[in-house]
Amino acid sequence: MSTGALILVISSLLIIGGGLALFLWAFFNGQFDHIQKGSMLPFDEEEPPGRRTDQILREIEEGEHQTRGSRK
Amino acid sequence: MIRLSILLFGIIATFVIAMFGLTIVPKFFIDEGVREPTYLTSFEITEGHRIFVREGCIYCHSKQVRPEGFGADFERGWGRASLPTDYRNLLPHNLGTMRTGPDLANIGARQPSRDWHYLNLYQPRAINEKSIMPPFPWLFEVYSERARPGRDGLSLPEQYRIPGMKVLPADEARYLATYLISLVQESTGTE
Amino acid sequence: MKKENIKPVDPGNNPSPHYSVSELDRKARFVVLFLIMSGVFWLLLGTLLALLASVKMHLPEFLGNAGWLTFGRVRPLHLNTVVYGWSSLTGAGVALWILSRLLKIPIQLRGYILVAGVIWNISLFVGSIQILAGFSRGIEWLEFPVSTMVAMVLCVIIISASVMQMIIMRNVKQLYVSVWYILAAFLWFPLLGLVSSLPVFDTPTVQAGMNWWYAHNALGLWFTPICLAAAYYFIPKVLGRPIYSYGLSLLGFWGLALFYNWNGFHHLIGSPLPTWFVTISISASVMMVIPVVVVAVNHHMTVVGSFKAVKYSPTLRFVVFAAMSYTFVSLQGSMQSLRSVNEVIHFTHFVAAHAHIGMYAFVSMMLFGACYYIIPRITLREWHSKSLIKWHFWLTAIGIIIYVGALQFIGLFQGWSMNNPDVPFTDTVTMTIPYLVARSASGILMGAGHLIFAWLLIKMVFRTSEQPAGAQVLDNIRKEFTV
Ligand code: HEC
Repeated sequence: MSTGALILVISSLLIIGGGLALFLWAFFNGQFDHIQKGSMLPFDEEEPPGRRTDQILREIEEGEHQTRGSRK
Repeated sequence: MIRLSILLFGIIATFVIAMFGLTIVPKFFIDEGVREPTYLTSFEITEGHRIFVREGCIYCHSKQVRPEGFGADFERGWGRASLPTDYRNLLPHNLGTMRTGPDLANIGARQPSRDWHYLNLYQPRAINEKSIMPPFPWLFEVYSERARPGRDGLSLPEQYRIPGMKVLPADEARYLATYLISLVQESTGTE
Repeated sequence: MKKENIKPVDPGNNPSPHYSVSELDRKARFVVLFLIMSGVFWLLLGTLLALLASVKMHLPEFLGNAGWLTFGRVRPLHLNTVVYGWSSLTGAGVALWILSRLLKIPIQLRGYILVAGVIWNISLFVGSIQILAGFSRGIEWLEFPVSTMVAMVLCVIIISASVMQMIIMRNVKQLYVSVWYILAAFLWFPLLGLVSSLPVFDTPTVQAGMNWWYAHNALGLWFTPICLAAAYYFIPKVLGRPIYSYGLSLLGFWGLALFYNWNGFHHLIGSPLPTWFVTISISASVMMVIPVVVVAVNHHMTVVGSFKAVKYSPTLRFVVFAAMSYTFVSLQGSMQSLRSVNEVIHFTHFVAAHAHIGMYAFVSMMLFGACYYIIPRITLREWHSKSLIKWHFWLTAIGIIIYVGALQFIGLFQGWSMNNPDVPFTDTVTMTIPYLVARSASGILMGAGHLIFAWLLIKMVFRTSEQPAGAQVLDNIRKEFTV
C-alpha cells in the first residue's frame, strides 16, 4: 500500500512537472502572442463578422415584413 | 502539425491518467481483499440477484450503508457502514444511488420472513398502503382455491384478494426472497 | 477587447477556401439530417418512456401488471434512449456540421457514417428490447448489454475516423476551440465506451467505481464538449461578434480536460470505496469551478448587451438558456460534491433534478438551438411557423424549470428527513408525492414542446416537392456513396 502511494505521488509530481514544462515552453515560444486572433476563425469573407444572423423572430415582434430569413 | 500533435497528446493523456486513477488503481487496492470467497452463494441467491437486477429494484433502493455519523443510516437500523467484503461478488454491483425506498444492504436482518417478502413483492400496499413501490405480480401464480391442497395462498387484505383464487409464489419470487433474506451484514465490520 | 474592435478576417487564416458555404452545407445535408432526424425519433420515444416512469412513480398501479413496463425497466430505458439515441445521434450530427463549417471541408466518409448511423439505430432498437425484456446489464448509464454497447461504440469510432480525416485534410490553418472540443469528444467517448465494456471490473466495489467514472464522463467528456463547441460556434455566429476572449476559451478547454476526468467518484461519497479515492474526486469537482467560471465569463461577456438579438434568434434563445444552465448545473455539482451537502442530497430526488439540468436544460436545449440554425441552412428552407418555435422554447423552458424547482425543493426536505431518524421512512415517501405529480405535469409540457419540434422538422424536411419523398431519399443515399 505504501509503495503504491509512493508511486502515485511520484507519478503525479512528474505529470504536474511535465504539464508545467509544456506550458512554459509554449509561453516562451510565443504560442500565446496572438491568441485573440483565434476568435475570428468562425468568420470568413462569405459570413463576415459584424452581421447578425438568424434573427427570424423579429418581424412578428415588430410587424415588419419578412426581411431576413434565418439563412441570411 | 506540432500543435495538433500536442493537442492530441493532451486529450489522450488527461483521459488515460484519470482512467488509471479511477478504475485501475482502485482495482489493485480493493480486489485483493475481496477475492477470497467468504460467502456461500447458492443457485437461488444468484438467480434472485439476477431478478433483482432485471426488475430494476436498484433505481429505488440503494444497497450501501453510510458510516455512522454521516446521514442517519445507522440510526435507522439499516446496519453499519458497508465494506467491499460485504458484497457477494455478484455482478453487476448494486450500490445504487436512490432511496425512494429504504436501503436494502441489511434487509435480511430486518425482515427475515419469507411471507413478508412475498406479500411486499406481490402487493406492497398490502403492507403499507402509502408505499409507492410497484407490484411484481408476474413473479407469482394464481391458482383456484381448491388446487394445490396443503399450500396456503398469500394472506392478502380483502381488497387485493381475487375471489375463489389463491396466490402462490412462483420460482422467481422464491429466488428473489431467498436473495433478499441473504442480504445480512455477517461480519461485525471491524477489520 | 472593445465591442467595435472587429478586424477584417486575417487572410493568413484562410489560405484556400475551396468550398463555398453553400457547397459545404449541401454536402452535409443528408448525413446531418439523417443523424438529427433519428435523434429526434429517440427523443420522442424517450419522452414517452419518461412520462410513463414519472407517472408510475406516483401511481404505482398504473400498468402495474405489465412486467415489461415496470418502473425498473422503463426508467433505465428512458435514460438510455435519450442519452444514446437523442443526445448522441443529434450531437454527432451537430458536431459534424460545425466541423465542416470550421474546417471548410465537406463531411468526410459520408457513406460510412450513414451505414454507422443505421447500425447505431438498430443497436438502439435491439438494446431497448433487451432492457424491456429484462436483459439489462443493470449498471446505471450502461444498461445496454455489452454487445449492444460495443456495436454502438464502433459506430462512433467510424464517425471519429471522419472527424480525424476532416481535421487532417482541412482547408484552414488554425483550429478553432470548437474543433478542439469536438475532436476531444470523439476521442474520449469511444475510449470510455470500450474501457467500460472490458470484463476486468469484476468485483462489486470496483465495478461501482468504473460505473461512476463512466457515467460522469459520458456527460463530461462526450456531451459537454460537443455542446460547448456548439456554444462557442453559435454565439459568435448569430451575434456576428467574436468570442470575448479566446485565451479564456483555451484555458476552459484544458481545465475541463484536466479536472472533469477525475470527477466520477463524487457519486460514491459514503460508499464502501476507500475514502481517499472519493476525496480525489471531491477536489477535482471543486476544481471544476475554474473551467466553468471561465466559460461562463466568456459567454456572458460576448452576449452581454445583445438582448434583442437573443430574443429574435431561436438559436440564441436556446443556446443562451443552455449556456446559463451549464454554469448553474456545474457550480451546483461542485457544491453537491462537498461532503456536508452530499450527506443531505445524496439518494434523493434532488440529484435526479440535477441530472436533468445537465442533460436537458444544458445538453438538449443546446442541441435544439443548434438544430434551429443548421436545418434551414442544409435544407435551404425556412421554418414553417415562427410562433411554434416560440411555443417550443417556452414549453420546454418552463417545463424544465418546474421539474427542477419542484424536485430540488422537495429533495432537500427529503434528505433532511431521511437524516432525521425520528421521522418515519414512509413520511419521506409521502412528502414527495405532490412534487412527483408536478414532475409529470412538467413532463407533459416538455413532451408537447418536443412534439412541436418534431412537427416543425417534419414539415421542413418532407415538404412536398416535385419528387416524392421516398425517391428523394434514395437519390440522396446514392449520392452519398458515389462521392
Ligand atoms: C418505485 C420505486 C421502487 C421500486 C422499483 C422498488 N421499490 Fe421496494 N420500496 C419502495 C418504497 C417507497 C418502499 C418503502 C415504503 C414505505 O415504507 O413507505 C419500499 C420498500 C421495500 C422493502 C421493505 C424495506 C424495509 O426496510 O422495510 C423491500 C424489502 C423492498 N422494497 C424490496 C424491493 C425489491 C426486491 C424490489 C425489486 C423487485 C423493489 N423493492 C422495487 C420503492 C420501490
